[in-house]
Amino acid sequence: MQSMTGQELLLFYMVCDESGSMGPNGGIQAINTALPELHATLAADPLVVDKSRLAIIAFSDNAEVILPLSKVTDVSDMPGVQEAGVTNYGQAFRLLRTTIEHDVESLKQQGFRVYRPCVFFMSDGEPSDQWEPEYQNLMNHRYHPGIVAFGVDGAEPAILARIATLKCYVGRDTVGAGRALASVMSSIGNSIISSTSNAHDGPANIDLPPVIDGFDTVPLMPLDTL
Amino acid sequence: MKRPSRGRTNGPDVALPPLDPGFVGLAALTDVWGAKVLQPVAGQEAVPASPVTGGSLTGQLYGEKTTFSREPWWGSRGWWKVAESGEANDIRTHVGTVGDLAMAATSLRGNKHRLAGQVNEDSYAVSTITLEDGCQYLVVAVCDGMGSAPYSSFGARLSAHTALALLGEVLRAFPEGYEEVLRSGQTAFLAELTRRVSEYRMHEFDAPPVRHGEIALNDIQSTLTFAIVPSLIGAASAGRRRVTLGIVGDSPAFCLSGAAWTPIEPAKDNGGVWSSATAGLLGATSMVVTGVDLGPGEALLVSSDGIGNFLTFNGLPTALGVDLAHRWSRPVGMLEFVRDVAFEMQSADDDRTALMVWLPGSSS
Repeated sequence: MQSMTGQELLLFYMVCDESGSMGPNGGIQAINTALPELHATLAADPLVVDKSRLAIIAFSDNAEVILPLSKVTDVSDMPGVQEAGVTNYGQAFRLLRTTIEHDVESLKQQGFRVYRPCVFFMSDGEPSDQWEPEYQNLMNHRYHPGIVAFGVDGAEPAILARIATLKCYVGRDTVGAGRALASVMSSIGNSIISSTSNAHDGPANIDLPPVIDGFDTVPLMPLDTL
Repeated sequence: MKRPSRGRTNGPDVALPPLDPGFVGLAALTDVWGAKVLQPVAGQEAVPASPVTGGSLTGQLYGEKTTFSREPWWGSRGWWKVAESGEANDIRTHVGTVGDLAMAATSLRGNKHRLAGQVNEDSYAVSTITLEDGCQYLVVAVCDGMGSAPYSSFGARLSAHTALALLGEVLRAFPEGYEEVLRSGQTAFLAELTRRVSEYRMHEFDAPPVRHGEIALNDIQSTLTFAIVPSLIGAASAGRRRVTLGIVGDSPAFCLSGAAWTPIEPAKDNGGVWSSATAGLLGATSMVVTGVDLGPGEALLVSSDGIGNFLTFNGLPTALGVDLAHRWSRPVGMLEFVRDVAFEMQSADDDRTALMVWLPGSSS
């Protein structure tokens, strides 16, 4: 049996809306262009490589883990998203809960010390489903993540502000989804790098930019959890 | 329509071979702790072992090798930068004896601060106190500057030294009951410590360029863990002795007995996930004041979380914890101690400070 090391890990989950509207507005292309750049940026930072893991979930009608939780230098080919269907937030939250539970338990059994996971949630529209029960299940879980929400191109600020627990950014109407998502992806990269470096310094362990160009920050309106 | 390519992953890295052990051409002697000590064999020169990687003093590998070890510290990627102030404190170390006690201390700058060109934010201080009746004490303190504080390195250094000065005053004033005085008077002790630290002189050796009355305490904030260890003489040396500790924040202390670490304060429970939230010394109104009875052959470790966090996990010793418990069950050489603290492990990128105090063994 391998001896435990007690290594520390920060877990990041990107949750990308790939509903039908994300194609025409340029969101899909922006994400697919940005993901390899994000990967290159993260893989060049030795702290990120050694101390973080990244997963990507895409959702529309259903949700799918398109990149299992991985060390960035173990990823040789970043996945992409593709437009399809409606915007079922509940599917994303359900898959997040089961995925995070599995990942954290697995890592702890391997002897890793795991910080509270961080989710970067991106969407361009209003949800098509009753998402609240699955969200509550996620947030009532002992490994519930901190959530940063990004809304672009018509996303409903009031809903995203109920989902976010760390910060909520909503793109201004004048900024197209493609450009806005490019800014989001860049901010996510910076946030992961900074958070990994400062993981010893605070309870939230996530560094977020006060402002993102083309976005407004929206006050959080946490949904009551049990 | 087919989804764009799924993410693909490579296999894990290959681990480096273990560290080349110790010195060659040496013969073993036995010291007062019953330990094997090495001396050069007549006619042979002692040859120090080669460093493992990167031309730097890198110790034993645990788990996969770190990304930092993939190139030497002078590599073109700039992963090990000189700090702007020049006072990075890449390595600081002290060893020595106090009466029947042996002590080794070292502090190493962590990878994350090397990468950012920032200074080691840990500090430690060591002093000996001899009372009028001849009783002698080793007093030690470890402070871990908070990374969010812009002058935490200075604050940690000043706090550690100021804490020892204040503890010396307490010891001299209350030689019979200092632990109880520290317990009952902890609020006053901390207030006086905060007052003295916050009255630093602007611009004096690395001090913040801010008047002390204008700086926020959190700008020079750190943790503090101190220990007062009596040195005994004669027959008393073979008995047990009371070690007094004070703790504000998350710089952990351990007893080492029978090659096993026992944390002096239990690990925090954060609902199953790890957290680095910690309390700061300056402005604190309470601290943990506790005592432990150490016996012959046992030892005390006061550390920063950069090393202490990696000795145990979920109440069990880690691979590093097992190794260090055996290696430090008796005093070790200064460079060997430094190399032990310079272990290599992914994510162990914070500054590391370890301060060991050994009691003489029962066989001495």
